[in-house]
Amino acid sequence: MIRTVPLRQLIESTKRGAQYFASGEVDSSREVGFHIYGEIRLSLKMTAAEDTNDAQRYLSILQDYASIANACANVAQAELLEVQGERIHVLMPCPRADRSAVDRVISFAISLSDLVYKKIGAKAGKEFQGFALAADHGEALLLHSGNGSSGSIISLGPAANAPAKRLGIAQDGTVKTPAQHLAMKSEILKAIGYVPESCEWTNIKVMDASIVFAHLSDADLTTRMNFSADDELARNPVPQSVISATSSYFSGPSYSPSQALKLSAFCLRADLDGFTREVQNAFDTGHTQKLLQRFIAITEFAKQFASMPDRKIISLPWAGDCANMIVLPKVVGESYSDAQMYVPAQIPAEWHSQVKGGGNMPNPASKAMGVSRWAVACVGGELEGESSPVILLATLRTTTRDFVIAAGWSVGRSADALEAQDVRGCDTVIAYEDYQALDSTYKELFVELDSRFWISRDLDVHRIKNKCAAASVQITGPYVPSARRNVPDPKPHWQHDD
Amino acid sequence: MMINKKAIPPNLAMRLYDGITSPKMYVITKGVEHRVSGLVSLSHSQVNTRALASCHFVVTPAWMEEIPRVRCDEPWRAPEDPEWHIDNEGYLCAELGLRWADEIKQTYCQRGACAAADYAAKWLLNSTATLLYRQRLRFRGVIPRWQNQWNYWAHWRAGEAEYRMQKERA
Repeated sequence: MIRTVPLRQLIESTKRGAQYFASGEVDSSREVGFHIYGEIRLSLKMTAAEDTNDAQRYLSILQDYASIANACANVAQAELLEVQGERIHVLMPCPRADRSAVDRVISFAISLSDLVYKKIGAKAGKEFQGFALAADHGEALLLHSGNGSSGSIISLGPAANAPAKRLGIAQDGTVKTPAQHLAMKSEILKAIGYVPESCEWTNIKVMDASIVFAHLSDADLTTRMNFSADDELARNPVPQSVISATSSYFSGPSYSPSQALKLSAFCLRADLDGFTREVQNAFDTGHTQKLLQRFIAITEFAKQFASMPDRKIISLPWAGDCANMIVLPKVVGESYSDAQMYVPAQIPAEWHSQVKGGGNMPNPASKAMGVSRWAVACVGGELEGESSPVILLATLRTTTRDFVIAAGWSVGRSADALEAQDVRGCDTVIAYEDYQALDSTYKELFVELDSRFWISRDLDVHRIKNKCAAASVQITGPYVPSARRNVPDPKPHWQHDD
Repeated sequence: MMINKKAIPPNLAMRLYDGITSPKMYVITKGVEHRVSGLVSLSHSQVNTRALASCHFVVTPAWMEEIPRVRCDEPWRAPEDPEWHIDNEGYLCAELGLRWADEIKQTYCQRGACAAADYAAKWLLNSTATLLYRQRLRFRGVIPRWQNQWNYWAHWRAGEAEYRMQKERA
């Protein structure tokens, strides 16, 4: 059942101790406003922390960051919608992107940046590499399915989607929005009389703001946000203790979500390509309820996918129309290295097959897809090297809300994979590091996309099966020089003693 | 030409030892059986993989007539099942004994003992790798059943009959 509720009620339902929803119950809200995303950037030593002390410190930094974001949003009469590790998503409700609203957003960005640089910068020290923001204005559908899931709210709509992409990595490997900057749509800035860069987005410097925006630096707002953040930080619960875990951790009765886990695993990210356009169409035609029902069916599909019988898959909060999961090696008979030889290709293939209604676990949710198609990325990383497969799975606890997050090199890389140029629905994207580790038969299903990623179009379980079965066939065995002949083709039999 | 057993060094086991990856071990038990344990690369045919399987080979002095027994203790190995060519005691049925004896004898007669040992080692490792890789695909969930395109002998005594018939035709 989908209930339409005011935004405030939606936020209340995400608070710790709020009433649990029955299965299938969803609260939704339709809001117009500025969607502001912030991203702290930390060194790989932190984000891919293999050392438990570093991971603990990283978690503590993220928790402070979430608290600061929550406090600042409250002061600015905005709402913290999501915390996705190093990214936060704030909604500042306002019906129009007029001068006053844009000024508010820029003032908020200036004050928040100031606090993040002071507080997170001091805590992270030399591992802190900056903070950037991106914002867009428009209508969005907001959803929450009860506090049993996470404090994060799903937001659907072009304005809720675009800024997140703007914080990603560009084709040439550089960040689209540099640290100390706020990216805004150029047309919004034009509307307030600012002559922006001649491209879709303009980056505005908000730390040590340029003379054009210096007047928007609001000392009073910064002071109030500072007090509020200090108050929230002082009341912050103690961060969870971080422990290392493997797949077997989840098979026993000892699993407790109160612990933060360090896992060598893969991050699966599935983006519903085309769905944002469908949301816009639904706004234009007034069919948002139907669209929500379809989206809920799609989330059910993801839930079912995550319940594989022989493998632990941990569902994370959705990021807009992107499903996020942590895929672990099998509990028995598989290390991370073993899994890296096929999981980055096979798990997305399984996803695509299940969408089509095939695969090992048939799924009937394909009807809900409409014209949208999944693009799927699955990223692990190298056990030795900077691109570590260690993922930190934790619950960030602010004074009122809990946010389940996953952080690590692969989490960011999987998001970048789906932002890479020419990636579209039905594609499977893997990282260069994982491609190198694949069995040759799986490798042959991929082509190079750019220096970071390899891609397979229309990958599914049948293609992998056919490829693997054919590659293992031998007409003749290898040649033995001393015998001057090939060994026979492998031809096993079976016998038993009488 | 008859095989002169006294003239043949037990060199198949050493060649198997050389063909596998560390950690590996070579043990002679009761002065008769040569036991080799280590990691077998599962690369074969058009498959290039980093995957390894922990295997144990038992080589007797009669290895030219009796195919060495091979065991794999990996948790992903298929269960004792005719479909996946694992016998009731958990040994791999990687090749038909009768064919083994014929082929090795032929190589020995044509090229000598060293060539026969080279040939035997390469054959056994290749057949083991192929069989275990297919079992690994089963474990991964890619291929739940043995594939028609993967050659195999009819099971048990029918396999020997099939081999004899094939030999007669040739």
